Amino acid sequence: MSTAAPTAAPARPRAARRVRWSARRIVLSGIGALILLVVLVPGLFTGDDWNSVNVADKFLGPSLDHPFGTDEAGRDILQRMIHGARLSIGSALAVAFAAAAIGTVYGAISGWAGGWVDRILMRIVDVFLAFPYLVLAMALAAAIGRDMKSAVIALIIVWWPSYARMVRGRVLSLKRDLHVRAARTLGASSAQLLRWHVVPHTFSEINARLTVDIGYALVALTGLSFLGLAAQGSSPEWGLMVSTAKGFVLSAWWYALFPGVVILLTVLYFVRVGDELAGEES
Amino acid sequence: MSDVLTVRNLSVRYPGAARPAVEGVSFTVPARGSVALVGESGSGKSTTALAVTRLLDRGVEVTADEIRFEGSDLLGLGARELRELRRGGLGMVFQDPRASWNPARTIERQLLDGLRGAQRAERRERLIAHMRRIGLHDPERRMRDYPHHFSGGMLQRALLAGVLVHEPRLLIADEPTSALDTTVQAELLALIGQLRTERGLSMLLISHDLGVVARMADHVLVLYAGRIAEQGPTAAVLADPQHPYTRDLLAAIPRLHGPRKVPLKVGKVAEARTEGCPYAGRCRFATDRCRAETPLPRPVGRTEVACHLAPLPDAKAA
Amino acid sequence: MTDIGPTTVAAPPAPPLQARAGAGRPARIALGVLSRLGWLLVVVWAAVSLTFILSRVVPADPARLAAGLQAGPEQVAEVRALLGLDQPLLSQYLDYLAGIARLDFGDSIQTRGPVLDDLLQALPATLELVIAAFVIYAILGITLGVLWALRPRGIASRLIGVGTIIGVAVPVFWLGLVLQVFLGAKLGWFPISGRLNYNDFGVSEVTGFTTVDAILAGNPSALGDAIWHMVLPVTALVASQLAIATRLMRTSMAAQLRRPYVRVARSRGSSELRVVTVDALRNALNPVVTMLGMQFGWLLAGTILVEVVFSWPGLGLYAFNAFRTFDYNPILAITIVTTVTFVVVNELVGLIYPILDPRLKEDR
Repeated sequence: MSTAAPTAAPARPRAARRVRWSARRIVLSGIGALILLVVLVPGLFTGDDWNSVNVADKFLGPSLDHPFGTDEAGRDILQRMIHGARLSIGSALAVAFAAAAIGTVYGAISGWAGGWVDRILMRIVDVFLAFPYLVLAMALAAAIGRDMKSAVIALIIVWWPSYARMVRGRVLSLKRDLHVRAARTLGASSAQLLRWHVVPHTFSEINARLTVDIGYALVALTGLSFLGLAAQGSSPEWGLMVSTAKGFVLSAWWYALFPGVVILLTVLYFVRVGDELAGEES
Repeated sequence: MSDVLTVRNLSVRYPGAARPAVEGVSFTVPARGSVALVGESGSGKSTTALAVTRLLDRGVEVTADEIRFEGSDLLGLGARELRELRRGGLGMVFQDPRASWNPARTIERQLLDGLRGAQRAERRERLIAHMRRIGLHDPERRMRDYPHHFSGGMLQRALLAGVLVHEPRLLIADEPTSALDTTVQAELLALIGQLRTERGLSMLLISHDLGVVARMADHVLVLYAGRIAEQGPTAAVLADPQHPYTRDLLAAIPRLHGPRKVPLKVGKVAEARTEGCPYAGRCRFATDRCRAETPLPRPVGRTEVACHLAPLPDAKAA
Repeated sequence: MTDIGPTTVAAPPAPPLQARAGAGRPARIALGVLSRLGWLLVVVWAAVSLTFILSRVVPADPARLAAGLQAGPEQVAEVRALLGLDQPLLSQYLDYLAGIARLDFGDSIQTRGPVLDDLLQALPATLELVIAAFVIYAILGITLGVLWALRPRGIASRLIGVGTIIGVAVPVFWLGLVLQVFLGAKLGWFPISGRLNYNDFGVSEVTGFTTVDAILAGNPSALGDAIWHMVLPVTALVASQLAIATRLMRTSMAAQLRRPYVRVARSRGSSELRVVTVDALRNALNPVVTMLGMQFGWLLAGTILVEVVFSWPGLGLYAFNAFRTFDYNPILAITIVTTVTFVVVNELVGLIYPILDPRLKEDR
């Protein structure tokens, strides 16, 4: 059995990457690499004592020694944030990828199957979409426990339906195109059609949406941590830092400011990259 | 009788474009006469018409020695006077009837836009009469329908009625029939012809269809890459074209009988040269002089031609 | 834009609501309305069932929590019986459903009273913020978007453009905090928390909306104080959502302005103002209105965060406190209430759509 492309011209598979490198894209890629490094090996950027309590140094303002200042336990905020990146960004990545994966498979099946199967599956999706995400996340976190893991699961549950919808829509319209082609193609099986035509076409759209969603997931996650529904205790998660900072906001303004700025910039980055990818598709 | 429209040395440049969309175009539309602008897409014919009526977007650069409508200068006209003009002497009909109407509003509302009170009532009466004239049954009721309830042909007629109710002296028609079926096309053209005779209406017609032009226009301008290639009485230009492009255009029309003609050399108007004759890249007779020096229009026989080599050696069939 | 969650929302099935003149039109409308109501019920039922499942899946023992941490085993058992938690699951479920139908959400451990009362108390406060934010942000979003589309190369447009790029990424809770610290604490321009205090101004609480009540009492200084308290939270809410609406409005408007009928309208001598507002804007608003409707739900989410930051006594703060103390009934109640609101708003938006686009009024 071969998975060779059927004889009808396959839709330009996006696997052939024709990326045009502009200055902007080089910069974006560079930042992306940096983010990846920070998430994977935070130790590269900080000393070993990044988390050590040093009460004598508490609430020091921004300075050369401590670019973001220190917190209530005398820890350097910048260093904590670097370590927190793994939590915050990592979780956001998990949410986005998992939601995209589940939603894509679900939507592809639904769209490809068509008929009443499609209708039922989509009804289920509609029910999910009817819940405002934060409330659902809260309720789920209340039920399955408050930690990063539960928050991630909650957000995945909330997020996957929109991918399902999108992919199913694409599959449906592609199916309509394909029926004509399939008739002309010599005995190409559904699997082959799916693999060589449907998937490449939806791939870049999913990619663009996925990247943007990493940003939005980050916002949602930090929000949940802020409310105490995700990260707990002394975890260096960014949203949690803002929440803790809230208590000291009058004496240590930098504590609340910088984590938020970093969140903002990170989300901005992902949204920009996503837009860039979307631009490439059209 | 004076000319209804005078255009001298019109140039139009879109922002960021390599070369002007229209350059050095001059023509007049006499009273009761009809002039056609002919060319393929990208030749600048629509742009010319839009430039004359100042309907181009803000950033586009329009320059001319003179643009006069019934003696008054169009270029210097203020916004309000321009609006008055559009509600009066100048009427325009556009290509795609479906796209020309706002789908969210009724025909009546769109045509009576901005009018109030007695003026509106009076205009409405006349509009109904005109709608009937163009063949719309039960116009009172149907005018309150939305555009998607009408066929393409009827929409175009309605557009025409909306224009005519202003009693214009000049009708500018930009590809009025291109989006329609051939039978509907013929009907619309016949209608326009009748209305012109009835009212002594002058017309500026833009078309890529030489058949339509042959039927409707007294005088024709052939445009290529924004410049006039040839202009003259329609009969003369079509019977005995002097510019290589005109010849190629005519030759490209598929015919049922006769020997196969040399096909129009493939090329894109957008890639036309900026130096010398714009047609030099596609022209069979092109010489070095053609490539270096831009030809200016000069009288040759009964027409005006912008070509160094006119009059061309073999008169009729190429 | 922040807390934006998944970017689409349920579009329930249902045939177009209105049909063109013809026999059976009232029947078709009735059918449309019924099917939408049916859909609403399905979603509500799903929400209620989901919360029920969650409440029974909870790791902590609700009976224990209700009885208090000092209670001994017999007291816990008593409480369990009292709360009906020793009944088989199915009958618990049915009781639960029946209770919801009666709007009986149980009691709150925190306040020791019916959750319904707490909800009714907190609701106006939240609505006041949400409505104010929604109105302001809709108007601003549309205006800015249209301006941006009309003069894309102007200075204002560049500023708006940059603003929306950043706005999309701002976390609302952080923005609220920043506003609170800098404009509230440091500069002292606005209060850092809470709402109008009725007693301080001798205004009686009629509707629960501080602004409305102040107006009813004819007390201008109270009204001023009420608004003054609302400025920061509403600003945070508006700022977090504004970017999306503005961008969408601009894209939609720019697309309409490029359409041929705009040029045709101009050629007829319509004034520029008319062409922009009556012709182009009318069509451009369609996708924006749908989006606005969807955003109402996300506004609710943002409100929770803002209420926490500003200690605004609304549903959000209520939910937050309930959450921290493991008080489940309120959380479940709020889940149901907000979900229902969300769906209802989306339905309403769906009803508006045919009004804006006459083509949808027809049967296809």
